[in-house]
Amino acid sequence: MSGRSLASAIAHCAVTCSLLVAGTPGWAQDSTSAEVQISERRAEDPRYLGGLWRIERFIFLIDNAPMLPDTQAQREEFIQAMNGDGKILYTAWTSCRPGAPSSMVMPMNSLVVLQKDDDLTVSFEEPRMTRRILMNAEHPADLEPSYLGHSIGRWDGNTLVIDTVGYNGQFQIDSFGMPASTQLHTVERLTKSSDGRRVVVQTTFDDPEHFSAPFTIERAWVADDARHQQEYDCMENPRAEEFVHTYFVDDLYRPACVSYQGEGMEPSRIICRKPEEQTELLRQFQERQ
Amino acid sequence: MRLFHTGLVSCVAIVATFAGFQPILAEDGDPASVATQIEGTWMPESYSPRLLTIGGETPPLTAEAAALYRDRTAQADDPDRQYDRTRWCAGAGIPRIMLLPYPFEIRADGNYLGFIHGWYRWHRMVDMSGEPVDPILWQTMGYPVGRWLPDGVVIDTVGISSETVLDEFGLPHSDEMQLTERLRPLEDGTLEVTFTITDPEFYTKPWETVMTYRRVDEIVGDDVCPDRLVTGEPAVRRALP
Repeated sequence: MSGRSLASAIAHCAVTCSLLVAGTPGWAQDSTSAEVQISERRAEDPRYLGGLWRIERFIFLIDNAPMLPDTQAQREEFIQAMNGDGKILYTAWTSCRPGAPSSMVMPMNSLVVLQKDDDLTVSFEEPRMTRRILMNAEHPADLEPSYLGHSIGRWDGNTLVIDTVGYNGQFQIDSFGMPASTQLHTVERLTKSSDGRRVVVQTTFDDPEHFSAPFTIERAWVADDARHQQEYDCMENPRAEEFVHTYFVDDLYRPACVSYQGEGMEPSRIICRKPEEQTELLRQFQERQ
Repeated sequence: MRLFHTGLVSCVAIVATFAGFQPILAEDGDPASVATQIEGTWMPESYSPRLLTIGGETPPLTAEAAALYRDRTAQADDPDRQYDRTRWCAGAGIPRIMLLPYPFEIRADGNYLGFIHGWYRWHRMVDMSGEPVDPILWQTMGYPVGRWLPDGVVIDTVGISSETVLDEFGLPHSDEMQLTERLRPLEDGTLEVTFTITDPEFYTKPWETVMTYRRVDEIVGDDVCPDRLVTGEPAVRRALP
């Protein structure tokens, strides 16, 4: 054992000893003050958003978008697949892709904000993604389109305004397959309550390829004293049973890796192939069912 | 209770050896001062598909764990190997995600030391509040709690799912593994991370491995693993870019 691991072991031993002697590890004594500091800072500084927040309510539908006729027709096709044919709708969200608008429309569980003078880092639990908001910056002229786009922030009084462009259009903005294009432009306005315990997030979507006018939705975060996020390991179990009842909003979302249940006592096996080969394997699987 | 058990194991280890003792936890460090030295984007200086100890040896596996590792190693070239969940873009877990040939960013604020990983945009938020670890369900990144030191940071993690492995050949660990990471910025501008693994179910004694990372001037970008799979690319690259 090297010196460093010995020292580490001593630290663990010290914890054990303190448990034995006092019932509480010594390094736990500052916990209350740490919680108070975060709560106080959130309450005292209306521009501080740091720490762990919980999504107030999971909402997965946009019901006020002024869709253009083609967009409306496509949405009705998706709704028919779900409600009429009983299919699971596979979008970017369900196929384990990020897409920053998913964090604006249908985030789940928790998020953590790390706030610096020059930027904010926002890590969402589900769907898992980390966004970076650059403060007092400009969008570059030569943006490469991406799922997360390019986000810049500024303060309008005590409201944080986040402007994002540069999307790749490979995601949907709600769980009913509401589409987005590379022309999508989002503006989020985040305003914290006076007690520092709630943040209202208003997001305006503008995408002339799909909507006749901009529209705005509202979500909220609430303060949470939890210390750890749970994790969302979206790709851990790509079950064949699910894929054979799936309607893919885009061929991109067809699976490359699928978990096939073993026969009898055999364990399941995850097989990765190109999606076109996997489609044939899934067809054979379905025939065996 | 898990922490108590680990502490007892550590006490045994202390009795076993006093050689080279360096008291790294003598006092708390100044977070702001240390943070400025470790924040930023880091890239591993090297990548090895097989994880060895700091002395270049195979980790001290128990007989049962060694048999499991041999069995997995024999499957390593099988494109359908089942032990490596990164093959289908499931979480690499900790510490493996720190060993992959991808960059990661470190950001500090409030009670958190955040790691934003370049592989499939995983993140972990290390709780620096000083409270004891409080795992609920096992997860691939576990439940990390950290502490500022005068010359770096120490992070303890438990609750790491045994579905993850430690290297490309499936080096195993149990659900009871405790991981300690000791981050230390070096004078040459690199970041050294020493990983100490304590897992009596799979290893006969605690063991260490070390990685160094160099600063890179970039923000970790989008990395969407399923998009690679649909084009037939591997989920995880096997060399530094």
